[in-house]
Amino acid sequence: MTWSSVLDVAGAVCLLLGSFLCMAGAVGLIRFPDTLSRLHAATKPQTLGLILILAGLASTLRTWAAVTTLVLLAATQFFTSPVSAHLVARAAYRNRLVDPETLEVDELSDALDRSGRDSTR
Amino acid sequence: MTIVLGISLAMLGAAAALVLVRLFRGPSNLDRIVAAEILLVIVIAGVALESARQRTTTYLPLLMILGLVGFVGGVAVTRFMSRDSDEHDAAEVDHPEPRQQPEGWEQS
Repeated sequence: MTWSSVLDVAGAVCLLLGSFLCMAGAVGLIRFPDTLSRLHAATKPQTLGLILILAGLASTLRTWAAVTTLVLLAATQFFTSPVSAHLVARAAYRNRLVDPETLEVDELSDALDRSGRDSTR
Repeated sequence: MTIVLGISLAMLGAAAALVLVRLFRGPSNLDRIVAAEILLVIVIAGVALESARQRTTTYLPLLMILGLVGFVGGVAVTRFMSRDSDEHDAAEVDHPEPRQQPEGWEQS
């Protein structure tokens, strides 16, 4: 069992797990009831699934150029996907797509109430 | 390796089909934005699988560009979708004084 075959097997496992996570996120996107929970399901393939697939690709290619590019891609994905998820959640709140009955903690509505304005609902 | 890539590609295809259903049905446009971002992640994963099958680094800049374009597109459409304010009927309410920072919020 040489190093290259070990890395090949590890890469194959990572690719398989990443694809499975993409499919799990898609199933969650179909089955979950509202925008915020769909966002919760959607961020799984965006971070962990993509990281697993890129790790599998890196351990399959095994060159420094590939590894550095993939690390850069994973880093940008780590920085950008929370930003876009936050923007979508904020837009969902502002467009009254969030049902307050489904929330355990709603700090934004409490803060708006305390500020003396009409809150969203 | 070929079998693993086949199974992975089948799972990605099923995921893309489900995401397309959500993209078609999605009650609001925000659901469609979320679905479109996931669809782009699935496309990135598919290109990565093809790159692993051929063992070439040719597709790596394509992966990079797809990731950045997905972020910029999602943010642009979301900004276009969202209202200016959290408050109810903000367009009709006139604001005599500037909005106060709520208590308990830390100034950052």
